[in-house]
Amino acid sequence: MQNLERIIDLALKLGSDFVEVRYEKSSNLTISYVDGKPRSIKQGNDKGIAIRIYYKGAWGFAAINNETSDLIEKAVSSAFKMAKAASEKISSYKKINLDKIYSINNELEQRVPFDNVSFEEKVEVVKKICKDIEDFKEVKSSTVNYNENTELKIIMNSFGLKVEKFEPYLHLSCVAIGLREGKRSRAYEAIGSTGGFEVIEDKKGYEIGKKAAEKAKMLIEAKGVKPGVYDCVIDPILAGVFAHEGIGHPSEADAIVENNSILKDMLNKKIASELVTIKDNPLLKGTYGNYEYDDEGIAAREKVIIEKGILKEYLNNIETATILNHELNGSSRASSYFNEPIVRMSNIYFDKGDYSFDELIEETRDGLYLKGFVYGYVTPNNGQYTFKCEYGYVIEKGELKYPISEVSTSGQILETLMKVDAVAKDLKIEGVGHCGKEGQYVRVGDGGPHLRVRKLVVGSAI
Amino acid sequence: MNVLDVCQKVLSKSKNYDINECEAFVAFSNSIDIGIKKKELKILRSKSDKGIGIRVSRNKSIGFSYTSDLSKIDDALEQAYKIARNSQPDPEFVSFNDKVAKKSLSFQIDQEIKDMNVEKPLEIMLNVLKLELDSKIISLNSELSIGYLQVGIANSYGVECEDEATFSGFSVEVSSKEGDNFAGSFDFHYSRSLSSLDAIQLVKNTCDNAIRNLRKSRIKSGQLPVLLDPLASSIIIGSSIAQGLNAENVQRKRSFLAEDIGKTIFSENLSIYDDGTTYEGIGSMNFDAEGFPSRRNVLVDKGKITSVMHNSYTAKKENKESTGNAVRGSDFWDYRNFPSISSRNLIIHNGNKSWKDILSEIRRGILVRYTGDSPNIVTGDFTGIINEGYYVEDGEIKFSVVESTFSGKLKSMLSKIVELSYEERYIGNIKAPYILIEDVSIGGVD
Repeated sequence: MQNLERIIDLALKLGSDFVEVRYEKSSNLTISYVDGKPRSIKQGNDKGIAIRIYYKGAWGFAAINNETSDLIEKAVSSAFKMAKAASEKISSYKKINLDKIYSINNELEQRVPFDNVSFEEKVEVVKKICKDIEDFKEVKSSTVNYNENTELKIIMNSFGLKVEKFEPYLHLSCVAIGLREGKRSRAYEAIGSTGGFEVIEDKKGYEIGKKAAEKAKMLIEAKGVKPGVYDCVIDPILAGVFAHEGIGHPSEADAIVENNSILKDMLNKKIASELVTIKDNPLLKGTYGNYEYDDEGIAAREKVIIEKGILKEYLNNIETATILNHELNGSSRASSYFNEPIVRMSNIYFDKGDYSFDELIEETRDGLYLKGFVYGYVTPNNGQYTFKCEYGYVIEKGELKYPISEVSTSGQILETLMKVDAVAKDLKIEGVGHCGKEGQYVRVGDGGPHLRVRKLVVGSAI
Repeated sequence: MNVLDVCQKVLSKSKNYDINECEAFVAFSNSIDIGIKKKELKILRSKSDKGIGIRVSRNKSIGFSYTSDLSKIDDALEQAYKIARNSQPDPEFVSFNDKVAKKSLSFQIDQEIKDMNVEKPLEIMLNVLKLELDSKIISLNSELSIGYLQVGIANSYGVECEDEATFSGFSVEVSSKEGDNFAGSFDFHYSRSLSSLDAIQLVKNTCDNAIRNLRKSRIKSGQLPVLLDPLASSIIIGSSIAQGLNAENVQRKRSFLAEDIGKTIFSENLSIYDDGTTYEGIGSMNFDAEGFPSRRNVLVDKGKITSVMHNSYTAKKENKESTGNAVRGSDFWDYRNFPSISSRNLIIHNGNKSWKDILSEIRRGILVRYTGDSPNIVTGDFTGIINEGYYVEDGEIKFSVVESTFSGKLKSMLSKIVELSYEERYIGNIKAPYILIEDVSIGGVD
């Protein structure tokens, strides 16, 4: 701690306008079984320091591990020099101000701490899931990954803010490869949440093997669809991806400030159908994107990004909130001490509506029911997004017919959000993922209820 | 202490444990990055990372542990041992790499990068800032990084090697606007030296693309010839082959090419090799991430699949020798990762015709510059959005296409390669030309 205070003092003496130091200590245990046998079991420890200096609108950043006092002094001095060099080219800037200063110790709850569970018990989880998969003769290959992490972060800045936080989280995933008569399929299931070993029971982790294997088996026979335009019902997993890619990224205030988002100058404008409400909330327990203080030490809260079709709020960090003169909303995270914190989503989701799932399908008559998620991405500056669904079903005359294989769908956010014409009440925030932005990957959650979007462009390999 | 000193410390301590083998992988890296946001020099970063990854084997049980704290390597060794002692064996495991890399080639090293000299990269970025941009360009973000890496590997078989490398990475992303129309484009260049980087030209081309992309229209669904820009061909062709011929994927039947090794199933125009020893390749090092000597492997020869890419684990399962394709993590030399398999420098043989000549012969087709989608290596399917692409008619680019998809079976696409351009470029560690595919299914509006 004295080390960190010294760093801030050093940096202020050099002339910095704002200084932030983040010390991180993390540990990870990964147990990976492939085809029912141990393939790699890894335990790792990492610790280091990140120093951020703001000087007249520019930033200097230094990250080191194996730090000695000499190295730290060198890092501070180099971060300041760099901020100063960069600032010479900045035409105008705003001074950073922080209203709320506090000193907090924060710990996300582990009902069953990882340290209280033996290594063998953790391996048993993976072995049980592998055993379930063995019952499916169509599944020729599988990977089961148990991934346990604990992160301790101490964040201090030159305003006197200090947050020491402990964030444990767990991720359990399974890939099942189906093969029959030369035709292959790939299915994926995952659960994840902050917390301890209890997450496995809470999130029904033991079922992922069976679920993935069943899906892999079904997908072998799945057909493709003729590329074209379809009315689509999307499931909670896909709704989450839709919220994340379609709205989440463009609503990040750094993209707004950098003129890189289609949502710039759109606050309080109607950008979606009135049935659309999208929120981002890190405080939700039992989610993969859960935290209570962000990586700038700012207290987290729920953000209503879109309310009944109107754009209400951007996700921000200290710098963008300063530039836009908006209230801080604690949306800043860094993937590790090797990176500066940037604006990130936490758990983003569509809020629920009135329909039941059956009503949605029946009313849709002819179209596609799209489910699951392989990956997704967006180009925030032109609003074009894509998501690749894991599978789906053809809807014919209001009924689900035969399964279809990975389909890809894309659109323009602002057009597509207007075409959401039905939202169900079965809200689930169970999507788990690692969102990539500027080379930084952070854990995120997402979800929604089932919902319907008219006239989506769909492609698939036939 | 240098990288091999750290390795040797661990190896000698490992003799106190009842294990069969021990391997130490140490990496020291330094980097400086410069970031431009909204056409302003916004952030300069310096990073220093040192750490070790230790593997031990004990009666076919493997334990792996890493730490970034070099004062705690004893703890890391202890952790690796505990895992090995308490884990089930992997019956398919034979041994760690036992081949010692003898040759010592020199690869391109940029001395100014090695010295972490910030002057040259700063000058490059200041020149980028000086560029006069068209008024339709509303945003420009760019990053330039330089990195210096030292790697050391040692194991119980007497493998003991160290090497160094320099890297430079430049990226630019541009947004454009005309009325209510938004568009953009991007580009990047990774290499071992700043000398091959023409940042100004890359930025100018990206801005031109961003403006050209403003004029966009939808197209009708149909079957059309597709000309892939190297950015797209490196993903669709290059990474399909690289991942499809990853021995681990093939052995576990997770590759769409698993049953086709040795067969001629692609166009005879397609020849691909992987080489960890090219002078300027970013994947080059005298050895792979297990210390096995790097070498050139022909993967596809005139349409015939001739080889897969191995590390020591997959090779020894088949009683074969590794092909030198072990890597750790997506950046290849990350001590926090267990060894996996990747191409080192993947080269798709170019052709004889200029890409402009190939384009001029297209009566109706699509020029695809970029798709953010990836091929499904398991099923062999590809479906993706044309993120940047152009409708071509009578040999000319007419307009940028929007909301269109292109899809097909990879094997079919790879067998329908009709032309490859003479022009080629490195996209990351894949060198690719323009590639013309005879016909592909395009999804648009009806």
